[in-house]
Amino acid sequence: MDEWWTYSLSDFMLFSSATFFRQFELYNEALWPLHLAAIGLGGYIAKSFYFDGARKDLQNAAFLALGWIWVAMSYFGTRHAEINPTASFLAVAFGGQTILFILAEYMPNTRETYRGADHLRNIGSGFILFGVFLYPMVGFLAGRPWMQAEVFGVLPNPTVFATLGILLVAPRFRGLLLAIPLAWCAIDGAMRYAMEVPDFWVMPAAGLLTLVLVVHHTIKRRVRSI
Amino acid sequence: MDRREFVALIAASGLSGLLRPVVGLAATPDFIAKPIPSTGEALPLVGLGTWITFNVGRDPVALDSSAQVVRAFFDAGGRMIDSSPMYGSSQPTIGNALRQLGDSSSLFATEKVWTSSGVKGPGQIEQSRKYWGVPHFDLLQVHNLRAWEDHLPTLLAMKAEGRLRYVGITTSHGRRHSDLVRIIENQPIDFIQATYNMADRQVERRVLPAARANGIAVICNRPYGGGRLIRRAKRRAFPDWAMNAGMANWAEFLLKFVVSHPAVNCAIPATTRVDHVRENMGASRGILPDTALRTQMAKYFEGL
Repeated sequence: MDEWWTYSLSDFMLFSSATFFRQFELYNEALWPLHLAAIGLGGYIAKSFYFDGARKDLQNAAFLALGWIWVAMSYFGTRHAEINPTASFLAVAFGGQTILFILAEYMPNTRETYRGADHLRNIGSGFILFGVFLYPMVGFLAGRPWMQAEVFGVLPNPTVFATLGILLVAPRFRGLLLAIPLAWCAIDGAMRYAMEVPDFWVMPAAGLLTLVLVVHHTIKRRVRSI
Repeated sequence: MDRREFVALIAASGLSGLLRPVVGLAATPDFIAKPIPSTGEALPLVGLGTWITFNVGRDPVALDSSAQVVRAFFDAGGRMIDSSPMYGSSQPTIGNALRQLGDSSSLFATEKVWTSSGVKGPGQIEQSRKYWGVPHFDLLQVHNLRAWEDHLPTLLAMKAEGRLRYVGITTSHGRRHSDLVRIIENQPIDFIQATYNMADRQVERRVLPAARANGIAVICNRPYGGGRLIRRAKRRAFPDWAMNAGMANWAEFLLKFVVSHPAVNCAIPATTRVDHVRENMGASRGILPDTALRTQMAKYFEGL
């Protein structure tokens, strides 16, 4: 890329915000009422991660992976690809996260079954509940119609939001599994900022908070173990 | 005698008035078109860009809306529609519009080749042609100088074979002007495309003089700075002196400044709205600002 320093975020935007959110509307219309099943599954995952303990982690991770692969194939691979030639890379990234969830069972550090510290469990649970049940409100509060609502397991943001919560609640799934959700938080924030959308800060804030909590907790544990 | 020598002779002979706007000097509300230097073909001052605005995917409402924009553009006398494989689904959107309208005989189809592989250029051009549904393009340009050494021979060969009428090269945002000037001075191209608007006048320093001296037509992209300039302007009331000078609104103010430069043939604003297309095409009519008025316009806009 010649003269890379002359480029701004908006130079990388291939579509308008109107087109971007109109894609949500058309996608939601095509999928309805699948959203209800997705929210139901998300609610089950939320309840199970908090109340059932680590014994059901792998089952819940498999359910969560379903949401990621659906977003990868149905949204990025098909719908978003209509307006974004780079959507296939995003589809691969979200598909990659699915594989990481499955492989998590075989990762040495995921043999830990303890739950995170109480404050991480509580914040993480809050993230999961927000991602599953409340994220659709974000668009409405930003002035967008209900038909453009972003729902867990259907569109990326609430799926990632809830996943951040799960990674806070269940340490066995951290490490590599944080990378793609955090990267998406940055990408989505940059994209919405370039489109001058009022809720551009939501995902970066969630990603940053998660990163700070995880790093702080990890440092504290290592210091205590010395 | 080659084309450059011919242009120099015309300029020296004082016959350069022949290259002025067809009706530009007379104070008549006529449609203005400037001749393309290499052939003399008249091209309206305002074309239609499709960056972002026509990238609407398969949304039937947006596709229909884009077709209405193209219809209004043709009805107002427009000819040049400019696109690129880089612009997402803009090419299929244009193709859909042309199919809906049926008659696109006045179309000046302008496209770009945008790949770092010279080998993939012809295939990409053919795919673009299929998206448009046209028998051939009028003008093909190397997009942002990407692999231009590989693509230019391909485009020149297509022109020699009669599969293309004009060859060009593009840049934007003031990038790579040195390279562009070198190409202008050394390559047998017909067009260049670069960014020119009231806030970005870098091209005035070297690119526009070089294009004019070498008889190369100039298309200006981003005449509204991606919308930023017209949004800024519309916060103020339109000045009476501009109205008295023959400009009806801010769109004409911004566009006429660009297209009134002697080296410029055409500006290509992009829009999703029929009313904006009509406003834009208003800049193709009436009289063009002279040097003194251009200076006044630039100074006024700086103060906004």
